[in-house]
Amino acid sequence: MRIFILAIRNLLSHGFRSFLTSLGIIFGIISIIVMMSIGEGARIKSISSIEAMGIDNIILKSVRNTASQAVAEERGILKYGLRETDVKRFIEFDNIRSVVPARKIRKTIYYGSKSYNFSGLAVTEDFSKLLKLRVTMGRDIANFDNEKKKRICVIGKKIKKKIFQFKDPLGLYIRIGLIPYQVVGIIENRYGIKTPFGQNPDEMIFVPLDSYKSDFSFKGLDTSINTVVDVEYDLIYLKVLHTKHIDYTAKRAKRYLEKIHKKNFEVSVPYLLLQQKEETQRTFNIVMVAIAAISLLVGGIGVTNIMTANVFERYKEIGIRRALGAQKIDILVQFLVEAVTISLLGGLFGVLFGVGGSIMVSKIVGWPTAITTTSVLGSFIISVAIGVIFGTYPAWLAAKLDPIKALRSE
Amino acid sequence: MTSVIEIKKLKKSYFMGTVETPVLFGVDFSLNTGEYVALMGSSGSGKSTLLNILGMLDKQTSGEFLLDGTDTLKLSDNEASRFRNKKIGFVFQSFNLLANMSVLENVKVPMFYSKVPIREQNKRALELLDRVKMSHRVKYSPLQLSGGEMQRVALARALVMKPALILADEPTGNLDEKTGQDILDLLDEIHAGGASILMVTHDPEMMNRVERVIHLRDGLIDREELGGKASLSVKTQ
Ligand SMILES: Nc1ncnc2c1ncn2[C@@H]1O[C@H](COP(=O)(O)OP(=O)(O)OP(=O)(O)O)[C@@H](O)[C@H]1O
Ligand SMILES: [Mg+2]
Repeated sequence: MRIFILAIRNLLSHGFRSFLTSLGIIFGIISIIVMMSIGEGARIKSISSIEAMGIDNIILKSVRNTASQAVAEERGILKYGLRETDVKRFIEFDNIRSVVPARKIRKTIYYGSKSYNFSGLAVTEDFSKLLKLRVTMGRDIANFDNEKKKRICVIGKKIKKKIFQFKDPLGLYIRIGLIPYQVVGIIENRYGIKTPFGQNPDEMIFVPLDSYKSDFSFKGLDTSINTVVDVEYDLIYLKVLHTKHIDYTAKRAKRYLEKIHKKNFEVSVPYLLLQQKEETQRTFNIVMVAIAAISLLVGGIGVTNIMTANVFERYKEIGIRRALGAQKIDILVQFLVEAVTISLLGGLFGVLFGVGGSIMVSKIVGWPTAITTTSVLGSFIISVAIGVIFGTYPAWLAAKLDPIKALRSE
Repeated sequence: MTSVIEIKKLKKSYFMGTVETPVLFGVDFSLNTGEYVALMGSSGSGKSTLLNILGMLDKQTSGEFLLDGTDTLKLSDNEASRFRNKKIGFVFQSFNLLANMSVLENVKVPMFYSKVPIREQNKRALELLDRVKMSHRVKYSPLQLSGGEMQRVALARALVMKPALILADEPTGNLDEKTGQDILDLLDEIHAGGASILMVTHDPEMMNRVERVIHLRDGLIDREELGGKASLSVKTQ
């Protein structure tokens, strides 16, 4: 302890110089802390958004592509996408817990005399769970709505505001195409999860799939592209039993779909995305470590530099201490502790400014950041290590000095 | 009679590259336990050189040097450090206090390199500062002291490990007459307390304070004479 106090005092006697020396380390540690917090923040965000898609899900999406476009030009009907036959097939796959299909609502929505172009999905009762939606008023779509083909709907909270303003919408009717559907519930997109088509459920209408199927054929005008389309399902979620085999199941589904639908579909597997994300994260970390390492190396060389100068200036002191009984190791430890103190103080300020910096990054730039204990602890360990590594040479120079030569010097 | 220091045919040369500068040409000398001896000689005669070897700050080129009966050539660097710490108290002409430490801390430095319990360190340092009449300046920096005060602090530091041997190289060389006398009085006291003292000096007056005077000339002991205190020490034997 006393040796640390001694070290700090010796450093303070060259306050400005010591400060300059530790600058390299300060910046190195700042970059470690800030970059790690940015990386971690980005990771948490992307992981939580991927996780929000459900890590036990395989998401199959119908897409239009040039091949189906060509078909449409020939016959006037754009036929693509997933079918009920696919659903039946997937149910027979291994490792499948459930198959949840959904179809886009391609009709204009009316309330009173006004018409709206809201997007919507015809879904089963499992769907709101997939998107982790919360019912804030009324109720969710239930099993019996589908069985009894009830004409009800659940609307997102932003839609409620747009159509009904401050009126209580429960029990009121909106019209999909020409058919009235009763509003039974309001949902809220609590976690900001989007549908695979990038829509925000707060701005969507959900109706029971079976009711919709019986009211509307899957052949019909898609108002957004002004073409008659033939799409049975726009979306199928496969929920698997074991994520361990999700890759295999996804590949199998893909192979099957390729045969049937050529390229009119897309498969995404949040679990695999997550793994990829973590892979990119690792790459990012390596780059970051390299950058920090360079500035820490510079800082470390600064420590060697300044400590060597210290040793040369303090020959006399070393001689006096040796005369009074200091062993080589005592001198070595004294200068090593000084070097470690410089770099540890650098580390301390680096951590402080780094934490401040990453708070600023999230406040000013708006990136999510997260400070980890690993980065803080790691910074301190790294600072100590730099002090030891780069302080050893000058400390050894001091220790091996001949006592009488040291004492004689001025 | 036992001797603290015993040297035989001690030679010392300085080497600058391949050029040898012989300084001591075979010195035979011993310092008895409890003895107070002055080492005199003209400038450049090798007094400091000899004292540095005796203080194990430097090594002889050849010859034997026993400190407390131990052959110093056989000591490792660590053992030599321990000897300097425990057996020898140095007093230098230029005081050699550490400028960035307080008076009290300076006195504590030797204990820092020993196993004296921390609690005792303060007590001992303060005791010694009291003995050299410096207890009113414990918090001062050496830079704020006069030469005489600095040398008194240095004396306290030299004594703090209760060494058997005090080696002093012109301790009054940088002090005026009166202040020098104060320091010499203190050394008398220390000697009376049982320490053996070897002091390099140019002051012929020292004759009266010591038991023996050794005259060094061109790296050899030229002559020896009894000092003013000699009869006293003969009587006590
Ligand atoms: N490190 C050294 N390298 C070379 N020669 C040295 C060294 N130290 C001392 N000498 C030489 O050795 C001789 C004796 O020096 P020393 O310092 O022992 O003299 P001294 O008797 O103490 O003199 P003074 O009374 O002036 O202090 C001198 O000629 C000096 O030049
Ligand atoms: Mg001299």
